[in-house]
Amino acid sequence: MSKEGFGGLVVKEIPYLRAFAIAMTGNHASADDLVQETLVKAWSHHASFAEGTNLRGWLVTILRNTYFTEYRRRQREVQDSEGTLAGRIVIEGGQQGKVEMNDVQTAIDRLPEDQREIVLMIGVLELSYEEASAILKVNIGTVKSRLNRARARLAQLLGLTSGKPA
Amino acid sequence: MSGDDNGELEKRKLNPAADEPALDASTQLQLGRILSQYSQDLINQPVPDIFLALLAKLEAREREAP
Repeated sequence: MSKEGFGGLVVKEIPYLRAFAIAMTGNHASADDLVQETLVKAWSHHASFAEGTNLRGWLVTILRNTYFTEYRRRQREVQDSEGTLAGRIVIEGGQQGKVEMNDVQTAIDRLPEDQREIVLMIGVLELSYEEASAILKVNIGTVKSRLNRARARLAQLLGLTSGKPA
Repeated sequence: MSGDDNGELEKRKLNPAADEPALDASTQLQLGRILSQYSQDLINQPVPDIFLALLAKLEAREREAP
């Protein structure tokens, strides 16, 4: 694939990458840094993308590697100096529903990282269980059970079910 | 209903953690709607110009030094 064609495909994935990064980090500025780093790496490793495979999954693999190897450590330093990031996010054009979107982000922030990640991979990135399983390097049963635990916990955190969050 | 469907049903009964939602149907539906709205709000946010500028820069660099 030419880099022109590649660039055109990558552009379409930016909203999804940003959405995932914002929800994962709970911080717009950090998310944008993370996505920019991902794009630069994707560009330089363009030759290793196998045409016909899922570009979103490939990009998210790069984004996750960046997040886990470089970014999370920096984020912790920021949190140490500025306090928690939870609940700070503002979603533009938020809904006036019963559950405010800020509350949803706050609930997602409170999930253990592995549960947060799977909820976002399936819900925001719209990856299949198979794709998520390949990216996370866990079997499909683990993807499903992790997702179920995450959803149960979210329902509790959002007050949809009785009982205290575990 | 075919025999295969029954087999699948039996498998799910034996392994509820893997296949069955941990929530009742109406909570499941409610949570699904909330998460879907949350996702759409995030995905539909306008992409800042910096990203297009970055891609343009990468493409320009490519043209200068292929």
